[in-house]
Amino acid sequence: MKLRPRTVASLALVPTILLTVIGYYVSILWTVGLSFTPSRILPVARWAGFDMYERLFQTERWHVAYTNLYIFGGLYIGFCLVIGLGLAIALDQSVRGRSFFQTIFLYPVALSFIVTGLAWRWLLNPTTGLQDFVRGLGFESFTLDLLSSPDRAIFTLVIAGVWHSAGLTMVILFAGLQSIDQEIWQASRVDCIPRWRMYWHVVLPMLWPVVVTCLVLLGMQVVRSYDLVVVLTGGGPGYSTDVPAKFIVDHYFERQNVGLASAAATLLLLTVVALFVLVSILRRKGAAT
Amino acid sequence: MRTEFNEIGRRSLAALVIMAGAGVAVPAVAEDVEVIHWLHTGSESAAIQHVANAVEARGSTWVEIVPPDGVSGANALFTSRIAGGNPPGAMFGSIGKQAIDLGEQGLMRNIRPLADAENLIATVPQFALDIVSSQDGELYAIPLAFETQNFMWYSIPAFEKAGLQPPSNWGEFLEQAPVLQEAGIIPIAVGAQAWQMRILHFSILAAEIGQSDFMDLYLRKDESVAKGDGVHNSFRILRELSQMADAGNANRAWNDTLGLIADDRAAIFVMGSWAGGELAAMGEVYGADWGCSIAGGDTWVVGATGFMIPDLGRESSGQDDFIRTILDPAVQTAFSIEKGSIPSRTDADTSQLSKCSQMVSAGMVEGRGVPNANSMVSGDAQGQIGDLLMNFWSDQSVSPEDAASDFARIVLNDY
Amino acid sequence: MSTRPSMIGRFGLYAFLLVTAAFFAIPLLIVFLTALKDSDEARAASIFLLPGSPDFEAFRVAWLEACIGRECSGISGRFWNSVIITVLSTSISLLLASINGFALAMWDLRRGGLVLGLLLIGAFVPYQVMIYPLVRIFALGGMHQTLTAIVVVHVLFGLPILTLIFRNFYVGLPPELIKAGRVDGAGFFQIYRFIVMPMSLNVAIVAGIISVTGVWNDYLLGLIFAGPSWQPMTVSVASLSATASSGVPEHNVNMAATLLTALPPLLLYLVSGRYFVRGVTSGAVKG
Repeated sequence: MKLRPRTVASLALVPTILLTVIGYYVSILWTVGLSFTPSRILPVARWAGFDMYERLFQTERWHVAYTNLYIFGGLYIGFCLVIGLGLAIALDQSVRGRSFFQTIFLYPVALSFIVTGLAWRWLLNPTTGLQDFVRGLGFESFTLDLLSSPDRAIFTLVIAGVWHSAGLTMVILFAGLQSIDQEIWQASRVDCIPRWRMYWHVVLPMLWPVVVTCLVLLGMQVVRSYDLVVVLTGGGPGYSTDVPAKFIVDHYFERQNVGLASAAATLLLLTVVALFVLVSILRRKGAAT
Repeated sequence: MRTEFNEIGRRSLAALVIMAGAGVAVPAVAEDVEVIHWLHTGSESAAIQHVANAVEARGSTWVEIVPPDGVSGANALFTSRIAGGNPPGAMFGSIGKQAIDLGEQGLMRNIRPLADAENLIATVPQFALDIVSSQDGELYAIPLAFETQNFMWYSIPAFEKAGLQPPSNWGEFLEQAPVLQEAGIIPIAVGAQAWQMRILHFSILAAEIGQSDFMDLYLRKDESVAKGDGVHNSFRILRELSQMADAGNANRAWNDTLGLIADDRAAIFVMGSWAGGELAAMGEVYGADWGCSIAGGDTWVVGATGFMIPDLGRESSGQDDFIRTILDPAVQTAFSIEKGSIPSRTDADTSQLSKCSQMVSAGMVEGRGVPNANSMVSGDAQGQIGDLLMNFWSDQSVSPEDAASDFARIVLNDY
Repeated sequence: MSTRPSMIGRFGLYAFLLVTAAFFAIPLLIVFLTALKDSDEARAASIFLLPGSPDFEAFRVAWLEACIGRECSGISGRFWNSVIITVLSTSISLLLASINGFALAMWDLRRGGLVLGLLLIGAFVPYQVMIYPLVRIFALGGMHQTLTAIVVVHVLFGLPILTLIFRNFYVGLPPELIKAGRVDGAGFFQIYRFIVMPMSLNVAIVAGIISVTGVWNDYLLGLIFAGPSWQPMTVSVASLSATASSGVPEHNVNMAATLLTALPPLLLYLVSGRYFVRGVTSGAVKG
């Protein structure tokens, strides 16, 4: 029997559909289900209501981790956008050696967060890195002990994260700038409007959809941030730089508390959903203006 | 030595086989025993090598998995292997409540029948078996060695300078403290980190309440002990100590704190057996520069180091051989000489151990040992006790009475 | 671009670009310089000093001799693990994704939009929400911590973006292509194989770059699903330096190992820059 090609086309999607439904959706539902059980190392099918969520909210480490998501996220996204936009605009001024600069700004994106974290851990290490170097220059009292300070270690994550991702933001925004109609510049010249005002009042609003795209991309990095934290700070000192992604993995595979980890994972999922609602509002707002 | 080329060839072949659809892991040969541990630095590595050689000598194949990132990596791998339905043959670590937890979930093997049939555990102190046994006597882990927790390390020159002898109990020490201070010596070196504070506290507690109450308190959560005078006294002593420690104690690492003993700037330091090796490594001479004794009382607090034995769901002669090896007195002796610990079997040869270790093993033979308090409470309770002690230590306004009742509440509420 | 900026403005512009370029370039430069030093020099001398007698000894040690746990045979074994995982995952993902993309773009399937939607929504859920159930699913099949497991999860998490890229490319192809094939009596896979596939080289390169860098740079999935025998390079490099920090630190070897891990995606980026940029942005633009 010979099947119609269109039927074959549908059948060709079956492996992917199966993989997706089981891998994503069954898994997600399973995790949400587990968050209502007192499972330790293996799943148990006993209803525990919101016990795990209650325990989670009483756990200081979770509050630190969840707060860090916003501190790190806000600073990381903010700096990536500011630096990325600055670089994109700078490169848009018909500079010499543009592709050279682009290559340098973008290469960290090709590196893993593991490599990024290792390089920066070493640079920021007080006894081997920058601090030692600057002191060697004669500034004996110079201190850059970000890594060993519970209050400031989070900034090391921001520095390394921005170093990794600002180039990507630049490329996307630069592509956005290039696609803007060049006639607006001629118009501005006729009206004698300074360039910075053009950027601020005209170009930036036109870039809005591209900025939202960057927000989504960077936001996903923030929610998933695990590798960088593990390598750069290990979540420390103490648990001051813990993030939800690490909290979850630690509780699944080290603390043997599947119920609690699943509750935390469910909250992370809800956070992503909320993020999406926010983004679609931003999109609509962009479209309205 | 396998050449690199063969290695690549083997892996590509494996890749091809798996691509061809035979995606099921090849079951381990029956004589293998897979062991997860993290003993990879010099003397530790040499210590575990004795165990590996002895397992191989019994005809089983030793397959070790050594996550380089230590305890946490090993724990993560162990959990992942169990959750993934493919448990290893044995898992190294300080054994305690976790083994019972896993045993109650049906994931651990009951070693008791084999151990009893071959008379392997008759000379292991009962407490070391109790902390890894279920209520109805199933045994889930085997102790290999003990790491003593409540040593008092003292500087001989410091006591000579003050014209005193090292104290034998806490009351005596508190009387000596002003004399030591007058001689310009810090009476007690303390590193205020949660785990160090726990060691200091349960060492005082063991000295104050003795062996049977210590077990009743932590293992059986006995209310009369938890709310009794002994616990109260332990906090009163701790309060006095907190007033005589030097200014630099906050968050001081244990080896830096030990340095105060090596430099004869402090008189005593309460810390585990590992400090002895460190003092020797600092070039200090036992008997001339420093000495060791029990930190009050006559009960040794020892952490049991050993292996959890997961249920493989099948007979495994490799795992059986492994259990026999760990409980072999000669292997235990060889391991402990390298590691600086003491054998878990009281009939193992201890003549080659250090003087400090021999002191403890004599105590074990006389039945004067209790397990590390940490191994008898949940990780959750450990964390809470640590928080309590740190707060009590740094905040002079917390009264010993309040701290004692908080402590009792934490221990009694632990599951 | 025609207003003539003042000299000062121009100077400020280049100053800004150069300073930022230094911020981006210096970390890797220092890592490289340190890897060329010997162990004592790397420990004692300032990080910005040029190596006294640069050589590639540290690279050799990292490749063949560095200790990972008790095993001292360097990271070469893990390098080949990463290569095998990357090659298998990428080729399977590209094949599946291009077939999906073709089916979704050119056959006007009922519920095709739903399938694409299902895929794309899944792509935005953090891995942490799904890893534990996946471990249990592999456990049921007796495949936990095997090569199969790690390849399957990479394919699973790579499919959405790759499918989208192929679909967007195929949507732009003229529908006459298929019609011509249909007239000749060719079936779905014949049209795919002989008409569509030969036209897909460019898009396959873009998709391939995304897949290769994604799989090669992964840490979390390798940590959980690969197990000790298929441990990828990222996982061992992360712990390699942890080992060294507890013993005598050998910064030069750590840096060399780090560089070796970074090299494949870095080369890919330098060699195929334009495609690479298209790769990293193409997912984003639609996202």
